[in-house]
Amino acid sequence: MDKNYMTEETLDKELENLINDLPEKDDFEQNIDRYIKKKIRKITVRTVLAVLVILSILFLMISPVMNASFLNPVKLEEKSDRAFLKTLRSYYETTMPYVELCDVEVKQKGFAGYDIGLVVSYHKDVLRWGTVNAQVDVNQGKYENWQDPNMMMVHGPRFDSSESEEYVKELMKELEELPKSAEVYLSIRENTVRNVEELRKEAVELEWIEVYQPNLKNEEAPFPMCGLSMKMNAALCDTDRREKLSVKQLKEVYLSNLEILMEYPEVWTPLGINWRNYFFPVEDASYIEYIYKDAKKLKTFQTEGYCISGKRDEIIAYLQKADIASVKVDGVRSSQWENQ
Amino acid sequence: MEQNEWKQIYEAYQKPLFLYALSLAKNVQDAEDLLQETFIKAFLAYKSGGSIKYWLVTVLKNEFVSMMRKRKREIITEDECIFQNEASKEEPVCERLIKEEERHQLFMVIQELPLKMREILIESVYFHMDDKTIAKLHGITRENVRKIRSRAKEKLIERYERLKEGM
Repeated sequence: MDKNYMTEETLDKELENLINDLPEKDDFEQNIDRYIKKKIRKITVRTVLAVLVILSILFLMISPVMNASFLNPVKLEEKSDRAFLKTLRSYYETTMPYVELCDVEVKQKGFAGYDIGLVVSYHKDVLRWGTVNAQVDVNQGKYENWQDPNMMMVHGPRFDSSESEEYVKELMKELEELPKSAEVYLSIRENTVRNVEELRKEAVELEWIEVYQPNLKNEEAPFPMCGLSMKMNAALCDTDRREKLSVKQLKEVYLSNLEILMEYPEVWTPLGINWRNYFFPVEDASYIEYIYKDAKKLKTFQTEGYCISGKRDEIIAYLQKADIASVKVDGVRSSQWENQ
Repeated sequence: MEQNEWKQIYEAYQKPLFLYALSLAKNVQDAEDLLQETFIKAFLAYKSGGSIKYWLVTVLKNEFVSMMRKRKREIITEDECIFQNEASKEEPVCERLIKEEERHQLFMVIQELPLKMREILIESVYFHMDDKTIAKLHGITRENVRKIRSRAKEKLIERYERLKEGM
Protein backbone atom coordinates (compact mmCIF):
# COMPACT_ATOMS: atom_id res chain seq x y z
CA MET A 1 0.00 0.00 0.00
CA ASP A 2 1.40 3.38 -1.01
CA LYS A 3 1.02 6.18 1.50
CA ASN A 4 0.47 8.73 -1.29
CA TYR A 5 -2.58 6.97 -2.65
CA MET A 6 -4.71 6.32 0.44
CA THR A 7 -8.31 6.82 -0.69
CA GLU A 8 -11.64 5.66 0.74
CA GLU A 9 -11.55 2.73 -1.64
CA THR A 10 -8.10 1.59 -0.53
CA LEU A 11 -9.14 2.07 3.08
CA ASP A 12 -12.18 -0.17 2.52
CA LYS A 13 -9.89 -2.76 1.01
CA GLU A 14 -7.48 -2.53 3.95
CA LEU A 15 -10.37 -2.83 6.38
CA GLU A 16 -11.59 -5.91 4.54
CA ASN A 17 -8.11 -7.43 4.71
CA LEU A 18 -7.88 -6.66 8.40
CA ILE A 19 -10.73 -9.02 9.17
CA ASN A 20 -9.22 -11.73 7.01
CA ASP A 21 -6.15 -11.51 9.19
CA LEU A 22 -8.11 -12.69 12.21
CA PRO A 23 -7.77 -16.38 12.97
CA GLU A 24 -10.74 -18.69 12.50
CA LYS A 25 -12.49 -19.54 15.74
CA ASP A 26 -13.26 -23.11 16.79
CA ASP A 27 -16.07 -25.17 15.45
CA PHE A 28 -19.51 -23.78 16.28
CA GLU A 29 -20.92 -27.00 17.68
CA GLN A 30 -17.88 -27.53 19.88
CA ASN A 31 -18.19 -24.00 21.17
CA ILE A 32 -21.87 -24.37 21.93
CA ASP A 33 -21.24 -27.66 23.66
CA ARG A 34 -18.37 -26.29 25.69
CA TYR A 35 -20.32 -23.19 26.56
CA ILE A 36 -23.42 -25.11 27.69
CA LYS A 37 -21.28 -27.39 29.86
CA LYS A 38 -19.62 -24.34 31.39
CA LYS A 39 -23.02 -22.75 32.03
CA ILE A 40 -24.37 -25.93 33.62
CA ARG A 41 -21.32 -26.08 35.89
CA LYS A 42 -21.81 -22.46 36.82
CA ILE A 43 -25.53 -22.92 37.47
CA THR A 44 -24.90 -26.06 39.53
CA VAL A 45 -22.28 -24.35 41.68
CA ARG A 46 -24.52 -21.32 42.12
CA THR A 47 -27.53 -23.47 42.98
CA VAL A 48 -25.58 -25.47 45.53
CA LEU A 49 -24.22 -22.28 47.05
CA ALA A 50 -27.67 -20.70 47.09
CA VAL A 51 -29.15 -23.76 48.77
CA LEU A 52 -26.35 -23.72 51.35
CA VAL A 53 -26.89 -20.02 51.99
CA ILE A 54 -30.65 -20.51 52.32
CA LEU A 55 -30.16 -23.44 54.67
CA SER A 56 -27.70 -21.43 56.75
CA ILE A 57 -30.12 -18.52 56.91
CA LEU A 58 -32.93 -20.87 57.87
CA PHE A 59 -30.75 -22.44 60.53
CA LEU A 60 -29.48 -19.13 61.87
CA MET A 61 -32.86 -17.40 61.85
CA ILE A 62 -35.48 -20.06 62.36
CA SER A 63 -33.61 -22.35 64.73
CA PRO A 64 -33.20 -19.74 67.51
CA VAL A 65 -36.86 -18.72 67.15
CA MET A 66 -37.94 -22.36 67.45
CA ASN A 67 -35.57 -22.93 70.36
CA ALA A 68 -37.17 -19.99 72.13
CA SER A 69 -40.75 -21.09 71.32
CA PHE A 70 -40.54 -24.67 72.54
CA LEU A 71 -39.16 -26.49 75.56
CA ASN A 72 -35.44 -25.71 75.68
CA PRO A 73 -33.62 -28.15 77.98
CA VAL A 74 -30.25 -26.51 77.22
CA LYS A 75 -31.45 -23.15 78.50
CA LEU A 76 -33.04 -24.73 81.57
CA GLU A 77 -29.87 -26.69 82.31
CA GLU A 78 -27.83 -23.49 82.15
CA LYS A 79 -29.78 -22.09 85.09
CA SER A 80 -27.96 -22.29 88.41
CA ASP A 81 -30.34 -24.93 89.78
CA ARG A 82 -30.27 -27.07 86.58
CA ALA A 83 -34.01 -26.63 86.23
CA PHE A 84 -34.46 -29.36 83.60
CA LEU A 85 -32.86 -32.07 85.74
CA LYS A 86 -34.55 -30.76 88.87
CA THR A 87 -38.02 -30.83 87.29
CA LEU A 88 -37.67 -34.23 85.65
CA ARG A 89 -36.24 -35.66 88.87
CA SER A 90 -39.24 -34.33 90.77
CA TYR A 91 -41.61 -35.60 88.07
CA TYR A 92 -40.36 -39.18 88.25
CA GLU A 93 -40.20 -39.16 92.02
CA THR A 94 -43.75 -37.85 92.21
CA THR A 95 -45.29 -40.19 89.65
CA MET A 96 -43.26 -43.43 89.57
CA PRO A 97 -41.84 -45.66 92.29
CA TYR A 98 -38.27 -46.92 92.03
CA VAL A 99 -37.26 -44.46 89.28
CA GLU A 100 -34.69 -41.91 90.39
CA LEU A 101 -33.24 -39.55 87.84
CA CYS A 102 -29.68 -38.70 88.91
CA ASP A 103 -28.40 -36.70 85.96
CA VAL A 104 -29.16 -35.62 82.42
CA GLU A 105 -26.90 -34.95 79.44
CA VAL A 106 -28.45 -32.55 76.95
CA LYS A 107 -27.20 -32.07 73.39
CA GLN A 108 -28.68 -29.44 71.11
CA LYS A 109 -29.54 -30.51 67.54
CA GLY A 110 -31.16 -27.28 66.33
CA PHE A 111 -34.75 -26.45 65.33
CA ALA A 112 -35.94 -27.12 68.90
CA GLY A 113 -34.50 -30.63 68.80
CA TYR A 114 -32.37 -32.13 71.60
CA ASP A 115 -30.81 -35.46 72.52
CA ILE A 116 -31.38 -36.22 76.19
CA GLY A 117 -29.27 -38.81 77.95
CA LEU A 118 -30.77 -39.94 81.26
CA VAL A 119 -28.76 -41.30 84.16
CA VAL A 120 -31.33 -43.30 86.09
CA SER A 121 -30.88 -45.14 89.32
CA TYR A 122 -33.46 -47.90 89.29
CA HIS A 123 -34.10 -48.83 92.88
CA LYS A 124 -35.14 -52.39 92.07
CA ASP A 125 -31.72 -53.00 90.53
CA VAL A 126 -28.31 -53.09 92.09
CA LEU A 127 -27.27 -49.63 93.24
CA ARG A 128 -25.54 -48.17 90.24
CA TRP A 129 -25.48 -44.82 88.51
CA GLY A 130 -23.11 -42.52 86.68
CA THR A 131 -23.59 -43.54 83.07
CA VAL A 132 -26.40 -42.79 80.68
CA ASN A 133 -28.77 -45.77 80.70
CA ALA A 134 -31.80 -44.31 78.92
CA GLN A 135 -32.22 -41.83 76.12
CA VAL A 136 -34.95 -39.76 74.60
CA ASP A 137 -35.27 -37.05 71.96
CA VAL A 138 -37.05 -33.80 72.61
CA ASN A 139 -38.49 -32.43 69.38
CA GLN A 140 -40.49 -29.24 69.46
CA GLY A 141 -41.47 -29.76 73.07
CA LYS A 142 -42.40 -33.42 72.70
CA TYR A 143 -40.57 -36.48 74.05
CA GLU A 144 -39.96 -39.01 71.29
CA ASN A 145 -37.88 -42.09 70.47
CA TRP A 146 -37.43 -43.49 73.93
CA GLN A 147 -34.51 -45.84 74.36
CA ASP A 148 -34.97 -47.57 77.66
CA PRO A 149 -33.66 -51.13 77.28
CA ASN A 150 -34.18 -51.97 80.97
CA MET A 151 -37.81 -50.77 80.81
CA MET A 152 -37.16 -48.58 83.82
CA MET A 153 -39.49 -45.81 82.83
CA VAL A 154 -42.38 -48.03 81.79
CA HIS A 155 -45.35 -47.62 84.05
CA GLY A 156 -47.08 -50.70 85.39
CA PRO A 157 -50.51 -50.60 87.05
CA ARG A 158 -50.46 -50.91 90.82
CA PHE A 159 -52.69 -50.41 93.89
CA ASP A 160 -55.88 -50.85 91.85
CA SER A 161 -56.59 -54.59 91.94
CA SER A 162 -58.59 -56.31 94.69
CA GLU A 163 -57.08 -59.47 96.01
CA SER A 164 -58.74 -62.11 98.16
CA GLU A 165 -57.21 -63.52 101.32
CA GLU A 166 -56.58 -66.76 99.43
CA TYR A 167 -54.59 -64.95 96.80
CA VAL A 168 -52.40 -63.37 99.46
CA LYS A 169 -51.88 -66.74 101.10
CA GLU A 170 -51.00 -68.27 97.75
CA LEU A 171 -48.53 -65.49 97.12
CA MET A 172 -46.89 -66.07 100.48
CA LYS A 173 -46.53 -69.75 99.64
CA GLU A 174 -44.80 -68.89 96.42
CA LEU A 175 -42.54 -66.42 98.17
CA GLU A 176 -41.51 -69.16 100.61
CA GLU A 177 -40.07 -71.05 97.68
CA LEU A 178 -37.62 -68.26 97.00
CA PRO A 179 -34.11 -68.41 98.44
CA LYS A 180 -33.81 -66.83 101.83
CA SER A 181 -31.53 -64.15 100.48
CA ALA A 182 -34.05 -63.08 97.82
CA GLU A 183 -34.97 -59.39 97.67
CA VAL A 184 -38.66 -58.84 97.01
CA TYR A 185 -40.30 -55.64 95.81
CA LEU A 186 -44.03 -55.18 96.35
CA SER A 187 -46.71 -52.58 95.68
CA ILE A 188 -49.36 -52.75 98.42
CA ARG A 189 -52.66 -51.05 99.05
CA GLU A 190 -54.18 -51.62 102.44
CA ASN A 191 -57.82 -51.51 103.45
CA THR A 192 -57.05 -48.82 105.94
CA VAL A 193 -55.02 -45.70 105.46
CA ARG A 194 -51.64 -45.82 107.23
CA ASN A 195 -49.62 -43.10 108.86
CA VAL A 196 -46.26 -42.77 107.16
CA GLU A 197 -44.53 -42.41 110.49
CA GLU A 198 -45.90 -45.76 111.61
CA LEU A 199 -45.01 -47.45 108.28
CA ARG A 200 -41.41 -46.31 108.52
CA LYS A 201 -41.04 -48.32 111.71
CA GLU A 202 -41.94 -51.58 109.98
CA ALA A 203 -39.25 -54.21 109.46
CA VAL A 204 -39.28 -53.70 105.69
CA GLU A 205 -37.76 -50.99 103.53
CA LEU A 206 -40.34 -48.36 102.62
CA GLU A 207 -39.49 -47.43 99.02
CA TRP A 208 -42.20 -45.07 97.87
CA ILE A 209 -45.56 -43.82 99.10
CA GLU A 210 -48.62 -42.49 97.33
CA VAL A 211 -49.54 -39.54 99.52
CA TYR A 212 -53.08 -39.92 100.74
CA GLN A 213 -55.18 -36.83 100.09
CA PRO A 214 -58.80 -37.62 101.09
CA ASN A 215 -60.21 -34.68 99.14
CA LEU A 216 -58.79 -36.10 95.92
CA LYS A 217 -60.24 -39.50 96.67
CA ASN A 218 -63.67 -37.98 97.08
CA GLU A 219 -63.55 -36.57 93.55
CA GLU A 220 -66.17 -38.14 91.27
CA ALA A 221 -63.79 -39.15 88.51
CA PRO A 222 -60.50 -40.93 89.27
CA PHE A 223 -58.06 -38.25 90.26
CA PRO A 224 -54.38 -39.13 90.13
CA MET A 225 -52.54 -38.83 93.40
CA CYS A 226 -48.87 -38.05 93.69
CA GLY A 227 -46.15 -39.72 95.61
CA LEU A 228 -42.80 -39.42 97.28
CA SER A 229 -39.74 -41.58 97.29
CA MET A 230 -38.71 -42.63 100.77
CA LYS A 231 -35.11 -43.23 99.80
CA MET A 232 -32.82 -41.66 97.25
CA ASN A 233 -29.57 -43.13 95.98
CA ALA A 234 -28.04 -39.89 94.75
CA ALA A 235 -27.96 -37.17 97.37
CA LEU A 236 -28.08 -34.05 95.22
CA CYS A 237 -29.22 -31.97 98.19
CA ASP A 238 -29.71 -32.39 101.95
CA THR A 239 -33.35 -33.34 101.62
CA ASP A 240 -32.34 -36.38 99.54
CA ARG A 241 -31.19 -38.12 102.73
CA ARG A 242 -34.77 -39.21 103.31
CA GLU A 243 -34.10 -41.66 106.14
CA LYS A 244 -32.88 -38.76 108.26
CA LEU A 245 -35.94 -36.60 107.64
CA SER A 246 -38.91 -36.30 109.95
CA VAL A 247 -42.42 -36.83 108.59
CA LYS A 248 -42.94 -33.08 108.67
CA GLN A 249 -39.83 -32.61 106.58
CA LEU A 250 -40.95 -35.34 104.19
CA LYS A 251 -44.17 -33.46 103.67
CA GLU A 252 -42.12 -30.33 102.92
CA VAL A 253 -40.15 -32.27 100.29
CA TYR A 254 -43.43 -33.47 98.78
CA LEU A 255 -44.72 -29.91 98.56
CA SER A 256 -41.41 -28.70 97.23
CA ASN A 257 -41.55 -31.26 94.39
CA LEU A 258 -45.04 -30.07 93.49
CA GLU A 259 -43.81 -26.46 93.48
CA ILE A 260 -41.04 -27.41 91.06
CA LEU A 261 -43.56 -29.09 88.77
CA MET A 262 -45.75 -25.98 88.89
CA GLU A 263 -42.77 -23.78 88.02
CA TYR A 264 -41.74 -25.68 84.88
CA PRO A 265 -44.85 -27.39 83.49
CA GLU A 266 -43.38 -27.38 79.95
CA VAL A 267 -40.83 -30.00 81.10
CA TRP A 268 -43.23 -32.67 82.30
CA THR A 269 -46.73 -31.98 80.88
CA PRO A 270 -45.83 -33.62 77.51
CA LEU A 271 -45.19 -36.84 79.47
CA GLY A 272 -48.66 -36.86 81.04
CA ILE A 273 -49.40 -38.70 84.28
CA ASN A 274 -49.59 -42.44 84.80
CA TRP A 275 -51.61 -43.36 87.86
CA ARG A 276 -52.76 -46.81 88.83
CA ASN A 277 -54.51 -48.20 85.72
CA TYR A 278 -54.93 -44.86 84.01
CA PHE A 279 -53.02 -42.47 81.85
CA PHE A 280 -53.91 -38.79 82.16
CA PRO A 281 -52.84 -36.43 79.42
CA VAL A 282 -51.97 -33.10 80.99
CA GLU A 283 -52.13 -29.72 79.29
CA ASP A 284 -50.97 -27.43 82.05
CA ALA A 285 -49.99 -27.31 85.68
CA SER A 286 -53.51 -26.68 87.01
CA TYR A 287 -53.86 -30.29 88.11
CA ILE A 288 -50.67 -30.09 90.16
CA GLU A 289 -51.74 -26.72 91.57
CA TYR A 290 -54.96 -28.32 92.80
CA ILE A 291 -53.05 -31.16 94.48
CA TYR A 292 -50.55 -28.69 95.94
CA LYS A 293 -53.23 -26.48 97.47
CA ASP A 294 -54.95 -29.51 98.96
CA ALA A 295 -51.66 -31.01 100.21
CA LYS A 296 -50.80 -27.80 102.07
CA LYS A 297 -53.91 -28.30 104.19
CA LEU A 298 -53.00 -31.86 105.16
CA LYS A 299 -52.69 -32.24 108.89
CA THR A 300 -51.39 -35.79 108.73
CA PHE A 301 -49.01 -37.48 106.32
CA GLN A 302 -50.62 -40.73 105.34
CA THR A 303 -50.64 -43.31 102.59
CA GLU A 304 -53.01 -45.88 101.23
CA GLY A 305 -50.77 -47.38 98.55
CA TYR A 306 -47.02 -47.80 98.95
CA CYS A 307 -44.03 -49.82 97.74
CA ILE A 308 -41.82 -51.89 100.02
CA SER A 309 -38.81 -54.10 99.66
CA GLY A 310 -37.13 -56.64 101.91
CA LYS A 311 -35.73 -60.10 102.33
CA ARG A 312 -38.06 -63.02 101.71
CA ASP A 313 -38.87 -63.66 105.36
CA GLU A 314 -39.30 -59.99 106.19
CA ILE A 315 -41.80 -59.61 103.36
CA ILE A 316 -43.74 -62.74 104.28
CA ALA A 317 -43.92 -61.62 107.90
CA TYR A 318 -45.17 -58.26 106.79
CA LEU A 319 -47.84 -59.72 104.53
CA GLN A 320 -49.10 -61.89 107.34
CA LYS A 321 -49.96 -58.98 109.57
CA ALA A 322 -50.98 -56.35 106.96
CA ASP A 323 -54.61 -55.75 106.00
CA ILE A 324 -54.02 -56.19 102.26
CA ALA A 325 -56.49 -54.92 99.68
CA SER A 326 -54.15 -55.13 96.68
CA VAL A 327 -50.70 -56.53 96.22
CA LYS A 328 -48.43 -56.70 93.20
CA VAL A 329 -44.97 -58.15 92.94
CA ASP A 330 -42.83 -55.48 91.27
CA GLY A 331 -39.68 -57.53 91.21
CA VAL A 332 -37.58 -60.25 92.79
CA ARG A 333 -33.81 -60.46 92.96
CA SER A 334 -32.32 -63.74 94.05
CA SER A 335 -29.92 -61.90 96.34
CA GLN A 336 -28.63 -58.42 96.96
CA TRP A 337 -25.43 -59.45 95.14
CA GLU A 338 -27.22 -60.29 91.92
CA ASN A 339 -25.64 -58.68 88.84
CA GLN A 340 -22.83 -57.20 90.93
CA MET B 1 -33.77 -22.27 12.58
CA GLU B 2 -31.81 -25.44 11.80
CA GLN B 3 -28.41 -26.09 13.32
CA ASN B 4 -26.84 -26.10 9.85
CA GLU B 5 -28.10 -22.61 9.23
CA TRP B 6 -26.57 -21.54 12.55
CA LYS B 7 -23.27 -23.01 11.46
CA GLN B 8 -23.40 -20.89 8.34
CA ILE B 9 -24.32 -17.80 10.36
CA TYR B 10 -21.44 -18.52 12.72
CA GLU B 11 -18.98 -18.87 9.87
CA ALA B 12 -20.25 -15.70 8.23
CA TYR B 13 -20.30 -13.45 11.30
CA GLN B 14 -17.81 -14.83 13.77
CA LYS B 15 -14.94 -12.64 12.53
CA PRO B 16 -16.87 -9.35 12.27
CA LEU B 17 -18.46 -10.04 15.64
CA PHE B 18 -15.12 -10.89 17.21
CA LEU B 19 -13.62 -7.68 15.83
CA TYR B 20 -16.60 -5.74 17.16
CA ALA B 21 -16.25 -7.44 20.55
CA LEU B 22 -12.51 -6.74 20.54
CA SER B 23 -13.10 -3.09 19.79
CA LEU B 24 -15.48 -2.86 22.76
CA ALA B 25 -13.77 -5.08 25.31
CA LYS B 26 -10.19 -4.30 24.28
CA ASN B 27 -8.94 -7.64 25.43
CA VAL B 28 -8.98 -11.00 23.73
CA GLN B 29 -10.41 -13.07 26.60
CA ASP B 30 -13.42 -10.81 27.12
CA ALA B 31 -13.93 -10.55 23.37
CA GLU B 32 -14.02 -14.34 23.08
CA ASP B 33 -16.49 -14.58 25.98
CA LEU B 34 -18.68 -11.93 24.40
CA LEU B 35 -18.61 -13.72 21.07
CA GLN B 36 -19.69 -16.98 22.64
CA GLU B 37 -22.37 -15.38 24.84
CA THR B 38 -23.76 -13.59 21.79
CA PHE B 39 -23.99 -16.71 19.67
CA ILE B 40 -25.48 -18.78 22.48
CA LYS B 41 -28.11 -16.14 23.22
CA ALA B 42 -28.91 -15.83 19.53
CA PHE B 43 -28.97 -19.61 19.12
CA LEU B 44 -31.35 -20.06 22.06
CA ALA B 45 -33.60 -17.05 21.60
CA TYR B 46 -33.58 -15.86 17.99
CA LYS B 47 -36.81 -16.28 16.09
CA SER B 48 -36.75 -16.19 12.30
CA GLY B 49 -38.10 -13.04 10.79
CA GLY B 50 -35.86 -10.18 11.90
CA SER B 51 -32.43 -9.26 10.61
CA ILE B 52 -29.87 -11.66 12.08
CA LYS B 53 -27.11 -9.04 11.76
CA TYR B 54 -29.18 -6.53 13.71
CA TRP B 55 -29.98 -9.19 16.30
CA LEU B 56 -26.36 -10.27 16.72
CA VAL B 57 -25.02 -6.72 17.06
CA THR B 58 -27.74 -5.78 19.55
CA VAL B 59 -27.10 -8.89 21.65
CA LEU B 60 -23.34 -8.28 21.56
CA LYS B 61 -23.70 -4.72 22.77
CA ASN B 62 -26.14 -5.73 25.52
CA GLU B 63 -23.83 -8.50 26.64
CA PHE B 64 -20.95 -6.05 26.78
CA VAL B 65 -22.98 -3.63 28.89
CA SER B 66 -24.03 -6.36 31.30
CA MET B 67 -20.46 -7.68 31.48
CA MET B 68 -19.21 -4.25 32.45
CA ARG B 69 -22.03 -3.72 34.89
CA LYS B 70 -21.07 -6.93 36.59
CA ARG B 71 -17.59 -5.58 37.02
CA LYS B 72 -18.97 -2.32 38.34
CA ARG B 73 -16.63 -0.30 36.21
CA GLU B 74 -19.22 1.71 34.42
CA ILE B 75 -18.57 5.42 34.02
CA ILE B 76 -21.17 7.53 32.30
CA THR B 77 -20.11 10.69 30.53
CA GLU B 78 -22.44 12.88 28.50
CA ASP B 79 -24.56 10.72 26.18
CA GLU B 80 -22.03 8.04 25.84
CA CYS B 81 -21.08 5.11 27.93
CA ILE B 82 -17.39 4.64 28.18
CA PHE B 83 -16.31 1.49 29.80
CA GLN B 84 -12.94 1.18 31.31
CA ASN B 85 -11.58 -2.23 30.95
CA GLU B 86 -8.62 -2.87 33.12
CA ALA B 87 -7.35 -5.69 30.94
CA SER B 88 -6.88 -3.27 28.05
CA LYS B 89 -3.93 -1.77 29.87
CA GLU B 90 -2.26 -5.08 30.32
CA GLU B 91 -1.20 -5.90 26.77
CA PRO B 92 -1.46 -4.59 23.21
CA VAL B 93 -4.94 -5.79 22.36
CA CYS B 94 -4.49 -7.86 19.26
CA GLU B 95 -0.79 -8.00 18.67
CA ARG B 96 -0.83 -11.76 18.75
CA LEU B 97 -3.95 -11.98 16.60
CA ILE B 98 -3.12 -9.52 13.85
CA LYS B 99 0.38 -10.37 12.78
CA GLU B 100 0.74 -8.07 9.80
CA GLU B 101 2.21 -4.82 11.15
CA GLU B 102 0.33 -2.35 8.97
CA ARG B 103 -3.06 -3.97 9.66
CA HIS B 104 -2.29 -4.06 13.30
CA GLN B 105 -1.64 -0.33 13.11
CA LEU B 106 -4.92 0.11 11.28
CA PHE B 107 -6.78 -1.70 14.05
CA MET B 108 -5.10 0.51 16.66
CA VAL B 109 -6.25 3.57 14.74
CA ILE B 110 -9.81 2.23 14.66
CA GLN B 111 -9.59 1.76 18.41
CA GLU B 112 -8.74 5.44 18.81
CA LEU B 113 -12.02 6.51 17.19
CA PRO B 114 -14.85 7.65 19.48
CA LEU B 115 -17.15 4.80 20.46
CA LYS B 116 -20.16 5.66 18.32
CA MET B 117 -17.97 6.38 15.28
CA ARG B 118 -16.19 3.07 15.76
CA GLU B 119 -19.46 1.16 16.09
CA ILE B 120 -21.03 2.68 13.01
CA LEU B 121 -17.88 2.03 10.98
CA ILE B 122 -17.78 -1.66 12.00
CA GLU B 123 -21.52 -2.13 11.46
CA SER B 124 -21.25 -0.60 8.05
CA VAL B 125 -17.99 -2.15 6.81
CA TYR B 126 -18.07 -5.59 8.40
CA PHE B 127 -21.77 -6.29 8.79
CA HIS B 128 -22.77 -4.54 5.60
CA MET B 129 -25.74 -3.02 7.39
CA ASP B 130 -27.68 -0.40 5.53
CA ASP B 131 -27.94 3.11 6.93
CA LYS B 132 -31.56 2.61 7.95
CA THR B 133 -30.70 -0.35 10.20
CA ILE B 134 -27.70 1.43 11.71
CA ALA B 135 -29.82 4.53 12.32
CA LYS B 136 -32.41 2.40 14.12
CA LEU B 137 -29.72 0.71 16.17
CA HIS B 138 -28.30 4.01 17.42
CA GLY B 139 -31.50 6.04 17.49
CA ILE B 140 -30.21 8.64 15.02
CA THR B 141 -31.13 9.69 11.47
CA ARG B 142 -29.81 8.05 8.32
CA GLU B 143 -28.16 11.32 7.38
CA ASN B 144 -26.29 11.29 10.67
CA VAL B 145 -25.16 7.73 10.05
CA ARG B 146 -23.78 8.72 6.66
CA LYS B 147 -21.98 11.76 8.11
CA ILE B 148 -20.48 9.85 11.04
CA ARG B 149 -19.25 7.04 8.80
CA SER B 150 -17.75 9.50 6.36
CA ARG B 151 -16.02 11.38 9.19
CA ALA B 152 -14.79 8.09 10.62
CA LYS B 153 -13.16 7.14 7.36
CA GLU B 154 -11.63 10.61 6.96
CA LYS B 155 -10.16 10.37 10.43
CA LEU B 156 -8.89 6.87 9.77
CA ILE B 157 -7.13 7.95 6.57
CA GLU B 158 -5.70 11.03 8.23
CA ARG B 159 -4.42 9.21 11.33
CA TYR B 160 -3.24 6.22 9.38
CA GLU B 161 -1.26 8.44 7.00
CA ARG B 162 0.25 10.31 9.93
CA LEU B 163 1.17 7.05 11.56
CA LYS B 164 2.83 5.76 8.44
CA GLU B 165 4.85 8.95 8.05
CA GLY B 166 6.22 8.40 11.54
CA MET B 167 7.18 4.80 10.84
